Amino acid sequence: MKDRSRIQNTPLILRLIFLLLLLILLLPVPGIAGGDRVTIYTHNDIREMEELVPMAEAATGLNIAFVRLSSSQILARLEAEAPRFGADMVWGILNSDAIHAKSKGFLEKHVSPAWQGVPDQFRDGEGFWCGWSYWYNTLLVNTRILEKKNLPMPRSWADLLNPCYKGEIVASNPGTSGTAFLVLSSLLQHYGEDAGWTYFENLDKNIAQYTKSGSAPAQMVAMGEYGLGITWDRAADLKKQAGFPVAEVIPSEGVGFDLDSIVLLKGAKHAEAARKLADWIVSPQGQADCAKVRSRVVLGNGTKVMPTFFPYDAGGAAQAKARLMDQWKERFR
Amino acid sequence: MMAVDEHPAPALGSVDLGNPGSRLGKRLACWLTLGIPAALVLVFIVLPVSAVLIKSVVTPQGIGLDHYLRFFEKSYYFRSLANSLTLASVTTVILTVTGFVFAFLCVRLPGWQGKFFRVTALMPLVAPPFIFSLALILLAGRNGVGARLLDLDINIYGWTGVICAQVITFLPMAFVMIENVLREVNSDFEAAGANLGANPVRILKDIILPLVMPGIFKAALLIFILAIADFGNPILVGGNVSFLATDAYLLWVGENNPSMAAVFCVFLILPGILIFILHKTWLKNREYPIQGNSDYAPMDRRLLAPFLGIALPLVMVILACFCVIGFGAFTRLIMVDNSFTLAHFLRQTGLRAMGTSLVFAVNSALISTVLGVGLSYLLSRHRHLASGALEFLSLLGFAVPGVVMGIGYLLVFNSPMLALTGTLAIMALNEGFRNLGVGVEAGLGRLQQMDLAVEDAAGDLGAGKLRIFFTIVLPQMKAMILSTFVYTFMVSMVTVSAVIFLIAPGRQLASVYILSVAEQGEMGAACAMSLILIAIVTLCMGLLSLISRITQQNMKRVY
Repeated sequence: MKDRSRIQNTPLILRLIFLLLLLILLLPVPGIAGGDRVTIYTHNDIREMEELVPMAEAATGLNIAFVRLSSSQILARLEAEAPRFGADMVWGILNSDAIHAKSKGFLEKHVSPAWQGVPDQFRDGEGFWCGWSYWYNTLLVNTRILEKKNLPMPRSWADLLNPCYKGEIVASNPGTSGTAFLVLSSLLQHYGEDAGWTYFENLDKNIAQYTKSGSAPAQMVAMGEYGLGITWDRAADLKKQAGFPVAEVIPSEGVGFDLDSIVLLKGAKHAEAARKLADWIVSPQGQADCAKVRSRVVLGNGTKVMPTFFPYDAGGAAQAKARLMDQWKERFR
Repeated sequence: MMAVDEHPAPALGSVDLGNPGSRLGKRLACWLTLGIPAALVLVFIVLPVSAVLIKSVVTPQGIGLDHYLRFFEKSYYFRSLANSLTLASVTTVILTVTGFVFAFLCVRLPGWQGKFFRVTALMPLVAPPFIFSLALILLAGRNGVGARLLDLDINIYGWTGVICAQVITFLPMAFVMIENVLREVNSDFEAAGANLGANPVRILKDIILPLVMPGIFKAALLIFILAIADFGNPILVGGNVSFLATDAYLLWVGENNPSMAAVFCVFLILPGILIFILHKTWLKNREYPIQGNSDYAPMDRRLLAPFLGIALPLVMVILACFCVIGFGAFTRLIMVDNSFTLAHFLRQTGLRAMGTSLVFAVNSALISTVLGVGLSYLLSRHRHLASGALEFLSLLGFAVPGVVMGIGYLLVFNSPMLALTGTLAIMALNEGFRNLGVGVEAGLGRLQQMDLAVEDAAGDLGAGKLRIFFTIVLPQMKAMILSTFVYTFMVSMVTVSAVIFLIAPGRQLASVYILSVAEQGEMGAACAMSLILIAIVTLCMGLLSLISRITQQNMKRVY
């Protein structure tokens, strides 16, 4: 009896195991064929990358594999992985983080005609990082909610302290969001630390919640969850274009901006391909393509209206980050 | 989880009657069969967890408890511990009750009615866990369906949202565990009670509940661990309330403070380990031998009404969640521009991630199933000194929150000797070993039910250990192996918390992709990709349950 059961039953198990083994053989498949491979980390939105990558692949003939992480996650990854990084380069890292990464010795120096074509204020003099676009803080307002609740349109950072906005403002957490850290550090630099913290303490009374992503406030305002969001330019643009009942307000005092940077990582497996891509991004053609997804790129967009930018010290902000975050949590957590 | 049973199993090698040389060889083989799984468990579970523990006590001055002192000094750190404990307690109480209600309805209602509650209770399993947070925002947010149609003003961000989302997310686990216990209740006791004049409420209170209490208590403990380790829900609807798992993640990725993140991890691990020890010591042997007849009397109306009163609203919420996801997937901008579109389904990165997820999930499920079942056999039939420790360690991956395992893997597997980061293999190993406990526990449970006499008889007739395992033990475990594989496959398809630390370029997983687009507020894409994921998981589940049905029929024919 037992022997019969063995003969009758085993083949089924075997067949099943065989089927599963076939599936394991699929393992190497996900590597996409064609072209030199280059692997990148990015904090650019997935939507942006889905447009940028095909354009970059077509122009350079490279095969690009990316993973999208939040701004702060990128630096945490680099710290954890050093000195063996999981990617060849980062296309889209906060400038303050690029400066920090340079000081840690994570970056590969790159001097090329393409990088030198970028205006001096947008790149590292020694060639460790190069800006490819920049972005700034902005406010997004849901006009329908403002009308319904009869709230005035804010014009400035100072207006946000008006008690009538209590529970209607959504901001993000500077611990995770590059957008929020830019708000925090640039306003602290603008007001000076004492006055700056007083400002944030007053602002906190009106904040409904701090989200993890800097784009999320734009989304919540667009969906009508809250009336006002502190976010960044591209997130606000997308919501306007998508047809939500929203308006963008650039605070009259000025806004913080951050240079979105490219860096090459030390010990890259595909260093040559990474250099090729890094050069293409800031080439005139590459910049024209980037301008399709970003409102501000580093090569020539003189026709666009510029907001007033705070003179932002990204290096200083990077150094102060741990201290500022402690103080922020002390107050708001 | 079931208690380990302590059969007076033959000690290692004691049945061998061969010559001294072959005995030595057999002894070596025995040590190898135990040594290899033990080594794997050490490398892939113990090492990463220890790395995190070590990280939490290393200070610039050497080894010390500075980080822990800081944890208790700062109210904002300490508060997240208090919040997490409160959250887990509330969720556990709610889920124990609702899980019992669903399981009771499923076991006691006839035919399709019972099946209906089973299907709805298990539905959340096929979706990425955090998707219910998304759905709740769409349903009950300040501009959600509820606010629009019913003029409700609920604040979903914070306690309400997280608790609701957790109740839906973990309902399947509560249901399955309590259902298992309920199915074993001997109907003779109830019949006796009824004959003596007890009313249905009294029968429930004085007969059924005491009988199943130990099992329910165990279920509650597991829910508590899951709730405290939950990552996706608090991060999406937590609002400004801070919890341990999310804060550990934020400290690590956001503030670049690995030491404090490690301290948070330790506090995340502690409840799990305490509960586990409780399980294995105090709760052991507290189960009543209750199996027997299962000809239950039809459910009385006095019980049915309150039970349905609890279950039906939750059923409606679960169905509404799935509907809103389906609706969101096919509309341009949910709640704003509800015109039909298929654009959300055509996201290249997302579709590619779906393929990667499939390979990943099959592999990790294979690891948990094959290794888990093998280990459970070794643990239950060949007990020796290290068994207890090995069982504890193999279950550790299950008790340790995903965030901790993710951080631990980053710490360990990036060193030149064990350089595995950036590969799909490390992601599959991580998930496989995290779910190892599922295979081990299910295996131990099944082995405990099996009659040892058959194996002993085969041994007496001269069958070797391998032969006994393959011809007697394995065929009896077939159904359990399949269900373990299906379960771990599903869990791997939708997992986020640990793999989010290990995702490499070109190795994006569908679940992490969905969280990523959801975070950036692309509800349409998140819903569409979730729908595809749900479809794949459901399909695989159906396929495997079909296979298991055929296998079981086959078995019935033979025995």
